[in-house]
Amino acid sequence: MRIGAISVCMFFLFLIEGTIAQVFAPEVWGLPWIIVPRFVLVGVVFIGLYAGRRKALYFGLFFGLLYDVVYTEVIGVYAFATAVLGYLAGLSSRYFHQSWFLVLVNVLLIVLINEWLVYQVYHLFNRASMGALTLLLKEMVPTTVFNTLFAMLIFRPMSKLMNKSRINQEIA
Amino acid sequence: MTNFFGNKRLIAILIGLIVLIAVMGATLKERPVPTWPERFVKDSVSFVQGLLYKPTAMVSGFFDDITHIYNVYEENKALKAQIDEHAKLEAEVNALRIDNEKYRQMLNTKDSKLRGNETYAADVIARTPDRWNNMLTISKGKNDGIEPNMAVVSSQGALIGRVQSVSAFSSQVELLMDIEQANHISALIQGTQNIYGVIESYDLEKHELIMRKIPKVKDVVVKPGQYVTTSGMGGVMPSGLIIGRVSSVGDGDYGLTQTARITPLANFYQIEQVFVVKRNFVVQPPPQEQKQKANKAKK
Repeated sequence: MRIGAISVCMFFLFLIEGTIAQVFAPEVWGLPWIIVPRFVLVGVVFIGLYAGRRKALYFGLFFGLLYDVVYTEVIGVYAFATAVLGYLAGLSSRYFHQSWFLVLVNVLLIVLINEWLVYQVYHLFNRASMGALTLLLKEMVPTTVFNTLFAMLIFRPMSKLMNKSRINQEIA
Repeated sequence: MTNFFGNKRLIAILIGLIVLIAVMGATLKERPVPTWPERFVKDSVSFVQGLLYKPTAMVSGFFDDITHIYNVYEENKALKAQIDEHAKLEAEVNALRIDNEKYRQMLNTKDSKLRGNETYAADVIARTPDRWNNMLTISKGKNDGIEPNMAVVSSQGALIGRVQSVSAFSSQVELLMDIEQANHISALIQGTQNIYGVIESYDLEKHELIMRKIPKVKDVVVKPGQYVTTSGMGGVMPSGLIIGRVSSVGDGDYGLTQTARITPLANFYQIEQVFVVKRNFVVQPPPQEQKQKANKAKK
């Protein structure tokens, strides 16, 4: 398992979320949608599908915690959400095979659940408030579509990276 | 599918939930100086982020410049017209400044203590990806003299938020749109007289700030288009930082006060550089322990 290469890759995704993706956020051009880049979560789903649910859990916990510390003030929300959803993605790999279509469906569902879960937790602690329909149309749908497209974009390099690490594992 | 949520997993998830709520509860309160592991992580990550944000912002700025070239002719014409006005205005400002000085000397009053007179320039390093936490990371921290609760203005001079927490080499700025209990801003509307109120919330859908508790008296007339600035009465924010313009006025919740909606002047999404404004005369609320001691002493 090439944990090193995957970690570097994930950390890079984590950095892009807050820097490069924010320079090109849709609000900069005055568009009404909220598109949140969830690149780390997409990466964790890939790990869950290719490398197993345990690893997805650990990676999700670590990068979620990093996200909480660096980007937010309340610790725990993303650590919990990313870890649980990574594990969930890992579980679902048992029930169907890895084809690109199923990976994308997986990413789509997981991002959708993530948006809902994170919003509900913040809403519970009085940090976010938005009407249900506005939330769905302005935040959840654009974010999910964007991240699924992103998953499509990185599907080939990611699966290559993960598969290579799998072969290494088998040899070792 | 039967053991999808087996006993062990269900218990693990429940324990996870309990830990989540406990950790969230512990970290929910205002923390101007985070614990040292957090500060260490923030500082080291912000160093790497700084390498990424600046070049990207420059590239995107380059494309912006290209689109601007198309409007140069029109803009130039408008600006030339404004420059004639400007000379007149400058002369007027100078005359007023001299007058002001003279009257101050006559009245023997010093400069207002509430104004901010020290600024630190800082680069933006990163921004929280989600929109439930609107925070910027900036490149100056405790070692450069940044302290919690200082006001932060954009490079155009419009208020964008306040410093929420500081680490050694970086600090977190909470934007105006993220207003909660600790972030209410005492503001004033510049009319024929100063009209005071409190900016309390932000409308994410219309992108407007909402200012409440404006007195409803006969003389107090708020009109759309009037400028809103900080009043300097909230303790740490300096006075005279511009926030925005009034877009509409209505009655308050109970009809006893007025509520104004304010269009902020700053663009919260295209920020490359910020200025942190320090006020010399700072009123800190007494720490919790002292308050308790004082209460005990009273008893």
